[in-house]
Amino acid sequence: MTRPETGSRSPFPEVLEEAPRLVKDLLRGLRHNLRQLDPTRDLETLAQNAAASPFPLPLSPLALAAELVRETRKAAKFGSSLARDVIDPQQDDALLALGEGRQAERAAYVQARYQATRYLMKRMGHNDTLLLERPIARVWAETANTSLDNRANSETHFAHFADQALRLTQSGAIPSSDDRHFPFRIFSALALAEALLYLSPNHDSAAVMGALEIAAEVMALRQSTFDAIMDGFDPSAALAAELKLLAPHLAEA
Amino acid sequence: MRLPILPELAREQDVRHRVRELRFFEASFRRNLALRLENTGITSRTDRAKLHAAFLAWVDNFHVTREIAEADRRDFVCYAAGRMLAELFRHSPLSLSNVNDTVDPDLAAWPEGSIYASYCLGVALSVLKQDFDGAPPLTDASTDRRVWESIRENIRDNPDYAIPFLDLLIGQTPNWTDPSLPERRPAVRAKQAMAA
Repeated sequence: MTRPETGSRSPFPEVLEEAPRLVKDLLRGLRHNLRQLDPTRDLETLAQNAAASPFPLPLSPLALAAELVRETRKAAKFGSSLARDVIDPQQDDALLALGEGRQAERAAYVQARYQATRYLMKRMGHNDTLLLERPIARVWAETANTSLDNRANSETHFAHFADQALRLTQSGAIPSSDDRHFPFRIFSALALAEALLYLSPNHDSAAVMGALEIAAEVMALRQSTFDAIMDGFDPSAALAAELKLLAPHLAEA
Repeated sequence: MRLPILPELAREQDVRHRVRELRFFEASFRRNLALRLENTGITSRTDRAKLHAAFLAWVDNFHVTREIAEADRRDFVCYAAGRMLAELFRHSPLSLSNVNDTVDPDLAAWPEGSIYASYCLGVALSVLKQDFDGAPPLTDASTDRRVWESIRENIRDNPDYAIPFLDLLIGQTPNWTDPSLPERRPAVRAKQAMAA
């Protein structure tokens, strides 16, 4: 795959978008780690370490515990402010670019897919799973040669959405999950939502939210089907076939 | 049996294709429910996920069996409507309360079954009317309490018995032996025998 040409539609050089994305992903990682922190468990470990320490500590284990709890709370508060203001701003307008497919500018493409994926993850009960933005930007760059216009038939579009789902799954945008099928499920749901929007005459906020809602519901109902697709011989072709089968029945007429 | 959705579906174009769309299916299902329960005092709750699951199961079966439609399209409409009824029984999206004896007899006897059947019959008769030169009248079986009691017992064991049940109500020869197999339907076998 080739990288996009210098004259791509994005008004900003990639590096100017990449730097804030890098910072945001680092903050997301920090927030994720803060959320994983278990004060009870970590206090116990700390107390054991303190007892075994050959060096005198300036604080008693009790004072140390209180300090840790205080700092954890401060950090958690900082984490939730970060989430609200910087790394997960809720901008419904950003989702509108989901209907533009790969034709969207880089920043709009990434933002729309980040927010849509975050929405799907919450809808499927994964509020605390880490999601990163930079891998999504890499997928945009990898698919620079994909030129789909209105003349391309629906099968070509479904194949593109399936290919994108596979790339996003393998991109590390969801770097860790207890369930190895989870990233594929999420990005398949995103592909289904995009397929529904492609077939729909409307691309407004209500249509985008409706498509995401149905995609999340279908994924919950057919989880085993999508898991089998991922484990199959050719996940991309099988996912494209599933989109072709389902989307015309689920799209807004 | 009351089919209040029928005149409303008759005003829609191309019901045969539109009912394959989730939004149309859900909207018309809910409309039929509202019409059937109007002024009855019965309250209802529709589980959206179960309703969508029933639709998706029907879509899956439709794609697997649609090539049989070539043998006898009219018969396939009846089979597809029966299949939809079977999936509604299987997924059971409807919960009703405050059922009383003041409503019409079939609704009082088996409220959920009556509502599911009225919807699927409404769709089948609309399609037959639009695309196949008219819909047949419902048979006497549609008002026979024994038939309803029998089918209620049978679908507990196998919801696919909804398919021959719907055939019985609209005068199509039922296939009680292999209800879920469209290629074994009497109309299809007769057409295939004629072609051979």
